[in-house]
Amino acid sequence: MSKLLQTVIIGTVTGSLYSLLALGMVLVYRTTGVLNIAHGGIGVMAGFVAWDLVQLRHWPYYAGLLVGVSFAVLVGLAFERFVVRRLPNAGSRTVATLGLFLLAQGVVFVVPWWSNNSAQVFPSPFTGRVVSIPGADFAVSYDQIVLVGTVVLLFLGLQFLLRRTRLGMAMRAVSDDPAASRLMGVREELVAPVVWAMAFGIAGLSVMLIAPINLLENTSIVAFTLKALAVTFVGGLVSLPLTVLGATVLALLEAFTQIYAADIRGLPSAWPFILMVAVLVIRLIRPTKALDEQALAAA
Amino acid sequence: MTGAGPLGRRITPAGRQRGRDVMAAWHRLTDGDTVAVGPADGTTNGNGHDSGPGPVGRRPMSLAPWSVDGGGREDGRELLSVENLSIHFGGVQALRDVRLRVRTGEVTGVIGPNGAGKSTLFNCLSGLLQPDAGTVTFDGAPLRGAPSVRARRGLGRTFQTPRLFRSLSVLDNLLFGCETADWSGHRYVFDPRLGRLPQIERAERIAALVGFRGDLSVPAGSLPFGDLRTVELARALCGAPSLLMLDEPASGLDADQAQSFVGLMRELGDMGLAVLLIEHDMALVMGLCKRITVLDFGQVIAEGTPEDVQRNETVVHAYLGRSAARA
Repeated sequence: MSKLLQTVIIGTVTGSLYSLLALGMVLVYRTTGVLNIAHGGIGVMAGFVAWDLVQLRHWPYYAGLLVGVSFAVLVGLAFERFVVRRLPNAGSRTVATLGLFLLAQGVVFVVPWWSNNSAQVFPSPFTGRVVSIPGADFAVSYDQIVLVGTVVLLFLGLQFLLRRTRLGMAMRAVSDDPAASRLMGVREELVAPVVWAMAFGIAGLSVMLIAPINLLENTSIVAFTLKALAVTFVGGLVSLPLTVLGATVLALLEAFTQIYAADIRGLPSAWPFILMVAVLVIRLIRPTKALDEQALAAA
Repeated sequence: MTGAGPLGRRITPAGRQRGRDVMAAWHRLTDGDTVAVGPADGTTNGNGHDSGPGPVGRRPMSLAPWSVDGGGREDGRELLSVENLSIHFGGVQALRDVRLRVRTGEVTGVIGPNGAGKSTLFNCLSGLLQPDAGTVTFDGAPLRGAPSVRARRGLGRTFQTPRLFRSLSVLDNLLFGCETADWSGHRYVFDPRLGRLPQIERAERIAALVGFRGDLSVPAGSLPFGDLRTVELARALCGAPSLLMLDEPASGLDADQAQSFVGLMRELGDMGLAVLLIEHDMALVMGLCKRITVLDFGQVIAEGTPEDVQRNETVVHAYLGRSAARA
């Protein structure tokens, strides 16, 4: 029983990690039609900015966090203003995010005092504090609880934004039909910067919440982002609930196979691919339109 | 087996047949016969679109109740004036020195063969395209600025292919229009009482007005084609336009829906709304419009009442092609 509980908790925490990264990508895709490949890269870069201030310059943690997120927001605004706006369609903008990802990776490696040859420790004010699980020889750290709580808040916040606010409606309208939205009085030039700033800010915050748990390290966070990308396909890149569900299912599958089927080597790493293949098979069996409508209805 | 049309355009046999159908409809109108707006066989609406199963489209409808004069108020003032509007795309002159007048309380038609520049004209007027030259005066002042600015000045439009916000509910689509109306402070020309209603109730009333009887809470993307058109019209009306620009609004509608549409347009015109209509269904255009402008290759080749236009030789050539006309 203790082992089962431990597995579920590990899966839930890891699922939250994937969800956190995936929600930002779904936000961008759903409101702009662009697959934001730069999501993880921008998060890592913002994370290093915050780490630089907190660890090397001894800024207060929250001040460093604020500057790191603000940095990501500014990068989002600049990217929208100088790149996205000048490109004609979602396809070319998606390619541009790949370019931005490579640029962000380069910056992290180029800054000499960031020493990204090895992972950096990025402790939070909660580091070292744990909550013991009654009846189980297991404890959950405060950082993990903050991570799960942030995912819940972010999920509810994005749902509220997209469904209940004028800004969210305008975002969705621009995504559905930019020309028609302009005729309905929506000013795309004001909506798009908000989307990119929010998405990049979420990317920065995500990495800063993940770093105290998994260290601040480029390769692993990019790998998490790729897994997060896989789970976004579960919700057709538009549904927030299905994305969180997909992230949780993937993380639980990984946790259960790691703990209960440890002798099957490579299976945990294969789950994202199995999940994507399963989604593709379902899309082949069932009409894509019906699935998309279900995803939108669940969104 | 193609013939040369005006300016060397190649006319396909199907296009020639289409032209003959159009002219036949005109002449039946002139002779006072009844004309079926919907398909005679119930399979298409006359524009090549499937009108679906059921009895719709089989019932011939008389145009007489709609009256050939369009039924608009005689005292309408000039709302839209277009002078020498031109635009080109690369080497193609899409519009050249186009002139157009639209008066309040009237339905004005813009017709022409495919590629004549009708939708381009709409895109220029609504601000989606920037013309190379020309002036547009709307309600006594130059019409400039982004589409959103023009929408707030009272321009509402629909598209050839309905362009609703597919992930939003029908109601949310309509609320976008209501939001535009509230922002601009325009009164609803066709029913000033609507402006005093809360947005949701207003949207429900306008949905009912255009004949949408479906569920307002479903995603717009899940609607059948006919309902997409109806909801798009409702969304445009929710924006409290003083000029309603409709791009092939009857395309894809079944006979009942087309009949309702014509009745609605007449009512809206009677209430003082100006309607600018692009439509290929000539029976509908001739029955509904008070004045018609004919475009071909981006140029105005005729302008006048339906009777003037249908007797115009240049228009006949534009639709049939010179060789076919000679034959």
